[in-house]
Amino acid sequence: MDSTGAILVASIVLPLVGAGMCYGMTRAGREVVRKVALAFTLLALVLAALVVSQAPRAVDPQPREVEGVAPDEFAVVDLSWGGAGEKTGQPAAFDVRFSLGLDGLSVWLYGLSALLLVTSVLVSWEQIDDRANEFYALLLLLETGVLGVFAARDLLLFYVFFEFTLIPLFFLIGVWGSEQRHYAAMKFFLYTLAGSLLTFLGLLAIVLWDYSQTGRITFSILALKQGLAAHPMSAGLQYWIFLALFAGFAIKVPLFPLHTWLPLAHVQAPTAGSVLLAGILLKIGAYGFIRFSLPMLPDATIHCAPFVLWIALIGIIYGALVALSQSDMKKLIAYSSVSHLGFCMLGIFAFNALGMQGGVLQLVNHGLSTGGLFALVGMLYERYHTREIAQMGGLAKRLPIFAFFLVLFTLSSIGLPGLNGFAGELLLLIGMFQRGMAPGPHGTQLLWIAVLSVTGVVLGAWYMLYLVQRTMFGPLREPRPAHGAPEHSHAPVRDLSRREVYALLPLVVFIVWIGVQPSFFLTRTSRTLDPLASSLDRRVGTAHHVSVVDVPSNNTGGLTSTARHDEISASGGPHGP
Amino acid sequence: MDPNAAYTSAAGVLQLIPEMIVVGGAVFVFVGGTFAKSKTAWSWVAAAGLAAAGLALWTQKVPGGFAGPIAVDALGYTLRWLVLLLGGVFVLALARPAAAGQAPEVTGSLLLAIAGGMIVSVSGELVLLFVALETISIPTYVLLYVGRKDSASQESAAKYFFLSILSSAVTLYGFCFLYGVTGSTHLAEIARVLQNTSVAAVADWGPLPDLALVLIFVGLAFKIAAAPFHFYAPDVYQGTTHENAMLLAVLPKVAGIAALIRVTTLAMPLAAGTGWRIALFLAVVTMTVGNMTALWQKNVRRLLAYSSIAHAGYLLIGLAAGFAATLGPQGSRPEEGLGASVFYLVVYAFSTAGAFAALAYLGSPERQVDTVAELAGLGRTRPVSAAALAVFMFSLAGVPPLAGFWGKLSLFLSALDVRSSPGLGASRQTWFIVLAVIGALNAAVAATYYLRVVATMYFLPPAKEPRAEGGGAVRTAGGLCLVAVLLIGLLLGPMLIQATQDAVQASAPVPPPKPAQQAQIDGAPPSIVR
Amino acid sequence: MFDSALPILLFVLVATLLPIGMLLGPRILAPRRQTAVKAMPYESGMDPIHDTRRRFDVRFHLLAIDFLVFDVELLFLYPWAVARGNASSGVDRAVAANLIDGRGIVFVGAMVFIGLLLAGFIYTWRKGVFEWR
Repeated sequence: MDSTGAILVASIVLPLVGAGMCYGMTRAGREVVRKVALAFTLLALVLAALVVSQAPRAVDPQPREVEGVAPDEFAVVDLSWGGAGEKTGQPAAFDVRFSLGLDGLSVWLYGLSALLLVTSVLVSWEQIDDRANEFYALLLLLETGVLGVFAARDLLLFYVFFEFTLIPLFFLIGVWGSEQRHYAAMKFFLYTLAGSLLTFLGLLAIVLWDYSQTGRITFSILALKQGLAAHPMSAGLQYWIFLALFAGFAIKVPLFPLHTWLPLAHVQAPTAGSVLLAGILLKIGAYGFIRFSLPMLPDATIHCAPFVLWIALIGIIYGALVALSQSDMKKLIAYSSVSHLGFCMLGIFAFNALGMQGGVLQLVNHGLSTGGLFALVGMLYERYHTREIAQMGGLAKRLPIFAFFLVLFTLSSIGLPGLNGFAGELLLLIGMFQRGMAPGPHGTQLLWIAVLSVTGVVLGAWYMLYLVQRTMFGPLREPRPAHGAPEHSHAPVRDLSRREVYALLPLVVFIVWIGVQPSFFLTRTSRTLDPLASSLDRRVGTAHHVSVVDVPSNNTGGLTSTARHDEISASGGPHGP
Repeated sequence: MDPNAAYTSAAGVLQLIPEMIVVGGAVFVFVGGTFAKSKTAWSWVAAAGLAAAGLALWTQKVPGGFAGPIAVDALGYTLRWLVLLLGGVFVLALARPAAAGQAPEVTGSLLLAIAGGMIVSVSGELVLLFVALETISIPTYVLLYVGRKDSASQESAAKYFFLSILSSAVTLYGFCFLYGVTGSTHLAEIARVLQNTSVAAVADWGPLPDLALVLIFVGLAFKIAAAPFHFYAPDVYQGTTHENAMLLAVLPKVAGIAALIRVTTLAMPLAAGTGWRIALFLAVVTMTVGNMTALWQKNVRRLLAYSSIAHAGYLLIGLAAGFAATLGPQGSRPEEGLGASVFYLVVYAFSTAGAFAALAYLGSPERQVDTVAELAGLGRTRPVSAAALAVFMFSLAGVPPLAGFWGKLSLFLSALDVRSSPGLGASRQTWFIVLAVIGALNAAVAATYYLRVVATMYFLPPAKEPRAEGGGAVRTAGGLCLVAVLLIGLLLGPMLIQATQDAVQASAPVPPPKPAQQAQIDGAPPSIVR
Repeated sequence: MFDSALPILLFVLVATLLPIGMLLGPRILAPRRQTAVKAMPYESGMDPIHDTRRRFDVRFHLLAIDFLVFDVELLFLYPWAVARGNASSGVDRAVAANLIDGRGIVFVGAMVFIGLLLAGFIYTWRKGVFEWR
């Protein structure tokens, strides 16, 4: 365990300690508890920043050669779980490991999680009145969960964290949410659980395939990738496992017909819950696709890509259209998430460096901008106790600072050049067009998808700007302020407090930073994504020659032979061992 | 064990010292209770007896193999520890009801049932096994009846009594066929005979081994409350107290699964072709019926009864996988599925016992918690009890990082690891993948009603102040279960999965058939369904 | 052929004559003094025509069960008592066949059994089953 690894572990364990402390402070009152929670999230953020700052750049002068560590990984910690297999000294047959580390794919998502947690504590500052100690304990528990998901190097550990995030969110939505919180919490939990249990079976099937080939049960993601590269699965098996993984990840993303839990959960959740759901938890689905489906089941992924892309496209346009017709601000932003995540999937399933880089960057961007937007809606709701767009107008006069932030996050969300959204969307759209125009088995339909997806960008600008225009500009129309003000007093509500500005500022910093200098972020992701993209890219190329569609009778055999020729490097192209 | 040792030897009998201590404690409590009038002392005596038995068990070596009718092996050792630890939980949970009524009778019967469970764990012989199963059942009837005056509890006791008798009879009938085929009641001998018999002799038996297997399965399915032999469980649990329901939900299930593993999978590999089909069918039906029916329950004990039925289905997944793996191909590991079942027993037992303990604590001797609705707002009024109950519910639902997750993991892993051998039974793998998928979907369905309990506690406003007068003893019992669930979930899960697999592997009475024999069996006539 | 059927014939004969004798004997020999009590079907005094749900003393049950327990379980001691030192069929043969490893275990086993019966006896006695209050 190097020192960075130790810090990584500390950043994940620390919120757990904080959760215990907060939960124990039953008598302290919320003033103390929220400060404790803020201290813990800040500390975790500092630790996370220390870890992220160690991320190696694309060109590493001295690629390390460490047994059991891919060259693009850093901050690796590898401990045995509960002493399994340690006693005899030889590897246990059932070797689950407490193995953590980051690579180019996870590093920014990990950082984003630590950042958004601070924001969510700050936006809950005044909002959470009831049982504050439990609220902050659950929030910190959730932080452990999400940081762990992105840092897990062991398949089971990933799944443990993945499922574990459901428990705190279930309570956060169900206890502190709005009117329909009970139903929303149940639906959210059950929807996600049902899908992820099938994912679980798929992951186990991968492990067992590896076991049947190598004779050792390992849950290490790296070892599994290497094992699958050495002993590729038959295409038929890959499809089944891809479907199983798809069930869980597609619900999480969410892809089009499986998205119905999302608006409900987002709208009913307390502000912090919405920020985290949109900002982090949706990313786990896309992350799962890149972490497991793409490298481990390349044939099935490539074969199913048009299908995934089509439903991603439907999600983009459908989400945008539904968002356009919403009268509730929070619902509008929730549906915009469906649209935006569709873009991310588009980039990821373009299978080229630009698209995947853009897709992953867009995941981070969406976390920043939509997280910020949800926080803003929460702040507005605290002031007026309504989210009805029709009841508001010209609020920029009353709340100029608020309006500034809303416009900024909106512009980021619709991809104004100079802000983060532009960098991500541009990259992934270029990637998608490249894929569409490249010779490949699905040539023209992919180009159509790329072309049609651009309408999503236009619609996105429309509904977001329309929202801003209706609420912020025009004649002043204010809903009755909250906190029992007299009916006709028109006592002006106060603009954003310093605390609220602090909650949003870090997001703004990154929005501008990514917008101005995306290369800083991309060079750190490319170490992982470029090799993956190029191996998939090559595979798509070969798949064209041994076309899946052209060989109806024995496409299984065709794909398998392809897999043998085109050995996919588990850990990565140019730097790979 | 020394192969030249006598069938019944002093050394073999002395292996049962822990059980003797427990039975001795029971006798002491029964007889002593007629002299001393103390109500509270007997639980202490029982606890001391269990502690002494634990000490005796601790000092025992695990030689492996058989000492006459007693299977002194790692599986027995593991299961005895499980029963003994659960026994501690039971004694604590029943301390209060015992003190309120006929303390010596309750405590003594409980100790006898625990001793029965421990003997089942080490039974390597059919007669001993049957007697041990009855040693669990008969005191249980007493426990169900003693000290309860209302008609519901009488109905519950009578129902349990008659169905238990019926199940015992069916089991015994199956044992008879097994004896008739092999000419021995000794499991090691049965396994040897069944494996070394020529093809012609196998044909001679006709369907008898399969018949024996079916009858034993049916009889023991009653004990573990597997559908379609489950229907007594909800009525019985509803009619009795939380403490009794805890005993009923856990102890017969441990004994039933232990007996199934010992008699069917380990000793009757020849009938595995029938075995995995029965177990798979029962597993699918039981899981689905249990979970689907549990969705509509308003009474907590009824809900947990259906939950325990569903879990019987999960337990059978491991058995089915273990059966199928004995058929091979080369490299299949029966211990994976059987170990998963044993491990799941541990997980299930502590989660369920904990849930019942928490519910018992929340009631009072006069009025216990009956409906889910009574738990409303518990997160506010009784935060610690509510948190504990929530942990048990999440563990039963199989959500990580709690114990139930590792249980589900090991079961699904074993089901997915079943491979087809070429030729006959090629569709086996497909069946087990379907089983795993049904199991996973069932787990999601099950989460619905577990979550409903949690949601009621945390999301609804308090209905009325719960009494929470169950007493310190049952609270300690719940606390022990909580520690077990969290410890297994966070730390010991993988290690215990490995340990139970190793234990089962070390406990097969005869080594698995060689490939040559396997081929021979594969060519067996169709009466032995593969 | 007749030889082999003779026992059956004898059996039929006895089976026919015995009931006839039993029916005729009292008719000829017995004094006839009819009272209401004597006319009842059950000499124990139970009225055969009444509500089947009639309560009846639980002490009968206790006594019956106690009788059953001790009577049946003591039966177990007969084979033990008979099977001592008999080289062709008893305990010694079991030892010789390596079924048990010595005579001691049989003795101890029976003593434990008697001890358990004794405990049960003390229990029922202290519970007052034998007192007909």
